[in-house]
Amino acid sequence: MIDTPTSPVGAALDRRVLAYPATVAVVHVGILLAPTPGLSARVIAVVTGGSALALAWWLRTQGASSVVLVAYAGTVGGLAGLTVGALRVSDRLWVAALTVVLAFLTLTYGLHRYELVRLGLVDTGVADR
Amino acid sequence: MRVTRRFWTVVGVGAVLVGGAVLFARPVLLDGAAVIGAWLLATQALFIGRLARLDDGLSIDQSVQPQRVPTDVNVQVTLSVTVDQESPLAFRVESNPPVTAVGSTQADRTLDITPRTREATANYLLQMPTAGAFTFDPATVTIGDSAGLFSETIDRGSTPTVEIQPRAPRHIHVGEGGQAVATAFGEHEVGRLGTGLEPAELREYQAGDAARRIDWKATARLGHPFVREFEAETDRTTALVVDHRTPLGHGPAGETKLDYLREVALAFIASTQELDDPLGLYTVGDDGLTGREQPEAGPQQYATIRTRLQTLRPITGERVPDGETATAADTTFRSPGDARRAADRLATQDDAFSTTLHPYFETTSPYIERIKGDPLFRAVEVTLTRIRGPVWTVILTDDTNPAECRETVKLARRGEDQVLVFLAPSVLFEPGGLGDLEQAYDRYREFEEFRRDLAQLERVSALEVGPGDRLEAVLSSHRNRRQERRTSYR
Repeated sequence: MIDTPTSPVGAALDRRVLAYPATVAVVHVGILLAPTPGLSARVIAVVTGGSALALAWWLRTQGASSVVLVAYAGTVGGLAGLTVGALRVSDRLWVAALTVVLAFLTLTYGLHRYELVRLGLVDTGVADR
Repeated sequence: MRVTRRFWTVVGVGAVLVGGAVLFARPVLLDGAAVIGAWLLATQALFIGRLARLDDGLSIDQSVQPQRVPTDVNVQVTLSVTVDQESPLAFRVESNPPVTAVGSTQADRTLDITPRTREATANYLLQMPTAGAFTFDPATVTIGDSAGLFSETIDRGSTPTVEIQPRAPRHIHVGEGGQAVATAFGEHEVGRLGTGLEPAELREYQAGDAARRIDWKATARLGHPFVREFEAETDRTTALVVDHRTPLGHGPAGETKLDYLREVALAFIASTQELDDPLGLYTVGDDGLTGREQPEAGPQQYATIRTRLQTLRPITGERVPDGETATAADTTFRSPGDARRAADRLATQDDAFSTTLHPYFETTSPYIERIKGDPLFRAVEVTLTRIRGPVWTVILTDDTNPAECRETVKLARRGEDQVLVFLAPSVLFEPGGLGDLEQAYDRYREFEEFRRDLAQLERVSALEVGPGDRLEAVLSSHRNRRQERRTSYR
């Protein structure tokens, strides 16, 4: 049930769907090896931005529209901003982690509900009335 | 929307980053988790958008041909899928026949639609072993996203209904010469007046009439005493003689001669029960009497006879090959009276032909022996002649042995009794019997002559029983040919 890629590049990328998030994880874990004092905000921004661009590239190869790409960029920025904001409000890192996870779950569930309504898979009770 | 194992793998990668951020106190790992989370959300949004567009332009049709069939007959189902604009999504459409359907595999019923395919069609056959009206469920459409992270299943498409008819007689025709009779089975007029419930007539009071029989309203209206007469009520013993020998099993499964005759017999039971008349049943197989229920009235008796009839099957023996089935034509009826008249005519002539044939007509003993050897005749002889009082005998048989049938009917008349005969014309039941409609009509005409011959007997009524649609096919074919001939003469 996987879409047939439109180009050889797309085919190669498609076979490596999991490689993209895995690479993002590996790059970020690699930062752990770097000493904390030497990790500037600019380096973090470059690493995170590079990762986001790599995944945006994959989305583009899949034919994602500009709207989806803008929404994706907004979501990356929003989640990253949420992390920073949570850290400013509370010094506890687990609070920030929990905030990011809850935000992700909420958005996923919201999209799921939107899909159900859009496809008419939810009994709204209109027919009964 | 369902998520796949691949989705959970990606979520797991993100969870590792979140856990690592908390464990090692490195907030940068949360940024990595946020990027992966955003990517998952974008992929989900991309899939939902494509799914909605596909659903808007998707047209699925399930059609069934024919829509009305007997049980266990093939039904062709056509599943056609049309997409009004190309979609990058691959999907699978599975037709959903009723659960009772058999004869098709899941692969037969499934269409795999590749991306950018606009149309696809699948045909498959199925059968329904049970009768009834069955409605298809909408087709199940399973769609997956290009990354293999999500899938969705929706039900779409038409829901045709197929009507499965039981293998039982349909269009039962009971009549004479192709014309249906409207009289309810079992109705019988006594032919005399007396006391009862059904008013018959008014007559003037005569000396000797009981005062309670005076109709006071009529008397007041007419100025003279009047008595109202009613239809006399009586119980009439009815004896059903059902032939279930091998030839009665001819015909399509569930629509044999016996099946049609059985329906008539069951109608008789209902009618007799309504009148509360005594009813008996005698069943005749290849070797003679196979069942006997002496005439009695009462719900138990009717129930017993109904059960016996419903479980009655043609005696399975050496089945007569279809081409060798005896008909009215090749078993030309010749009674002892006919033989005697023929012998008299031959005796008056002295040519070689008459001299040769005369000895064959002189003796009637082989005929009598043949008739006496007929199971139906023997059964009637053994049973009906022992019943006391008037009996209305109803014989249900076919035209395979016309001579024996005629003698049986004559025997069943006994003294002053009436006989009703239901005959199933063999030509309407044989496989390929209607292959040549002209020949079928000729055979039906021979049957009709035989039926009329029976009906002309005193106190005998003879009716034909068979599939009305097949009979109509034979008769209308003949009418059309006659019409064409008339047109060509002009």
